[in-house]
Amino acid sequence: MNVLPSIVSGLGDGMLLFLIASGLSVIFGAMRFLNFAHGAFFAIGGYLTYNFLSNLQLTPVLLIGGALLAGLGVAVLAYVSEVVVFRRLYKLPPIDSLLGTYALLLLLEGAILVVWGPNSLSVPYPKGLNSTVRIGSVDVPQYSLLLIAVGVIVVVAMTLLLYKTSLGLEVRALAEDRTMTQLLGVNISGVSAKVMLIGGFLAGIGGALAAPTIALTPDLATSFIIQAFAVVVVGGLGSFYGALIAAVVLGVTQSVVVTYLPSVSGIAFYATMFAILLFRPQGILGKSSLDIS
Amino acid sequence: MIGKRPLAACAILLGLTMTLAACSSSPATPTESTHKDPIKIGFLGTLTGGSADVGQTGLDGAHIAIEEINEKGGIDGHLLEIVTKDEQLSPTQTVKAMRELAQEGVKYVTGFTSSADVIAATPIAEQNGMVIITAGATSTALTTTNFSKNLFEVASNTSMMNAAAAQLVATKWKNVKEWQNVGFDYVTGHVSWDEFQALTKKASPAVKFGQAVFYPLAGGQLSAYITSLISSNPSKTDTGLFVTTFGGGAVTFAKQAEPYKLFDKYAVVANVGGGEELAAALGADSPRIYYVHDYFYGAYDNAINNNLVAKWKERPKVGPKTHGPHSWLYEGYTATTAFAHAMEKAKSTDAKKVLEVLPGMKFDTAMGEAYFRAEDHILYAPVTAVECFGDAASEFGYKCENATSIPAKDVVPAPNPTKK
Repeated sequence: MNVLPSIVSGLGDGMLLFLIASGLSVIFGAMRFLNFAHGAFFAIGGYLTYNFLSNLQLTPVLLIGGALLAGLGVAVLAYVSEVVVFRRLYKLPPIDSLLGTYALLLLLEGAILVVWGPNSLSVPYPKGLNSTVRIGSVDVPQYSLLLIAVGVIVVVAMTLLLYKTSLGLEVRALAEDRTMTQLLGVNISGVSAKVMLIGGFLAGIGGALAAPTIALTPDLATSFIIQAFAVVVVGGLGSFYGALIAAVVLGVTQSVVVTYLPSVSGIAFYATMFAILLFRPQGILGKSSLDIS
Repeated sequence: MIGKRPLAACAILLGLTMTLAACSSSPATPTESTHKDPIKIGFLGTLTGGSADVGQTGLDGAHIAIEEINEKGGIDGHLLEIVTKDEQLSPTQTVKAMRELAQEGVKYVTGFTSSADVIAATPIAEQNGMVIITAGATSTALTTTNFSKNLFEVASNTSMMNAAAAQLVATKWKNVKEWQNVGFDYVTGHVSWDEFQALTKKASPAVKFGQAVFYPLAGGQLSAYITSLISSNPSKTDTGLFVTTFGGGAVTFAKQAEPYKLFDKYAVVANVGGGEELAAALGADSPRIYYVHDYFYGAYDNAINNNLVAKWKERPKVGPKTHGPHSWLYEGYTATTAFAHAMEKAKSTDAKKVLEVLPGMKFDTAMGEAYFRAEDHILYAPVTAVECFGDAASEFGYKCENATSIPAKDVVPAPNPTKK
């Protein structure tokens, strides 16, 4: 029994989930704000990539360029959403803000239908990343290796940002104690907007990199947001590194179960989530009090 | 005191609401005035969400039919008018929409993507004397266990498409010794695979059946299902892959299978019940796949089909043009014209009289003459198989050829309406 192919394919799947969930985790960690519209940001990242790249002879460099552009586009959208919508929701009870962001998700889904139409669209794989490569005895999609590499880059970049920059210090302070941070003279609104900008950028990048592996359909936003939330919860609400571990654990478990216990594959993802939360209700790296670090 | 900004916002909201209300119920072609009341045709389809392409394309077909009928003066001086409702792939929403249609005096309803929604809608049709001719729903249950005197089915049902596939196994795909399966993990996915095996065993007893995977309707991360199929070592010369997925979920599977060159590892890939959306989404990268469905626009050279395709090309479309007219167009068009034919045959627009003439009614469709079989209300019409593959030089990046029309007599099952 060679379990390695399942583990490797699960690792690629998990890393894509992490890219989607990472922005969600950063936003919640810093602001205690559950943003359902994140799913729409992810979907728009995919659709923007379709616009940028679908008529080009796609190369890995073009894809990365397109993903960065899509990330920037979505970051701007997230920033505008923060200023126009989210800022009004922060002081409301969590259920109200959740409903508010869900309303924005539905609005953006409707906008996707109006702009890109109802048909399934897809982005081709870039040349050189549309096949598999043999590692030991395992055939691994080249594209999965790219996703794993980008996931690692995101972890490193976010670590540097959070621990080596003044913005990171402010974000961590905000996560620790919002009132105290404000009393110390930090512009909370400005930091919140920047956090949303970063979260939007990560969602856009996630959507762009997912685009070659999925069908772009008007319900893309809702179909991925549930799994992304599951990753955030299992990792520990607001824990960036917890989200990474949770995405990998859930992705690999799902992959192994599909291969060896196909009859229960439909519930593997959420059964794993249930099992982890049963023993660690606060999530893998969650604390009794929420903490981004 | 109310400020100016809230007032302006209210005015904008009111305007938007009125615009939406106007859009949701409008005569298709108000080109000529009439003194008679319009006949309302309800179109209850998936107009939003992941299956919006099914509903929107079916609605296009209904609009084309109504424009043609109204251009000829309507039915006995009554123009036809479409009233749209969103099915949202939800039996609860469907029941609500059906009740609204009943309250609005709508007696004729078409559309529908999900058979579960049709089953939920049928009792309301029975209670209110409404007639349903489903366009997109394909469950065999609609003409068997859930048969209703108020319900008629246009699309080829899953039994018909599986019978067509089994016939192709016995004739065209004789080289295939073993079939494997990819389906959605829901009832129809499992039932289709079981039915295909049973039908194939009858016609081709030597054929074997191997690995079968079923993945979630929503798609998601599917590489584990793909590697599971590859680990069964399919043969390029004598293994076939029976695929019953459709829409975005089918495209997602195909996209994730692409790096593994999964489809290239099989002698034949047959997508039964799925349309060209797979070829459209994969474009020039699309492998050679057989599509078995009720209709393919390039397979029929007759006045009705040629006109339908031409009118579809003229219609405005939202988003990029990625493929030709899908079978949902034919289904919406056929269901709507069937109402008109029935009213003409009954010489009445009264739903009771229309219900009397629909069973057994013959009429011309884009695939030739067809009729609603009196015993179970199935549309006695052919099933179409076509082979599509990536071709960068073609308009949409793929090309289809070798279209075959499999006659109704070879695929329509014996009538078995168990609920009356």
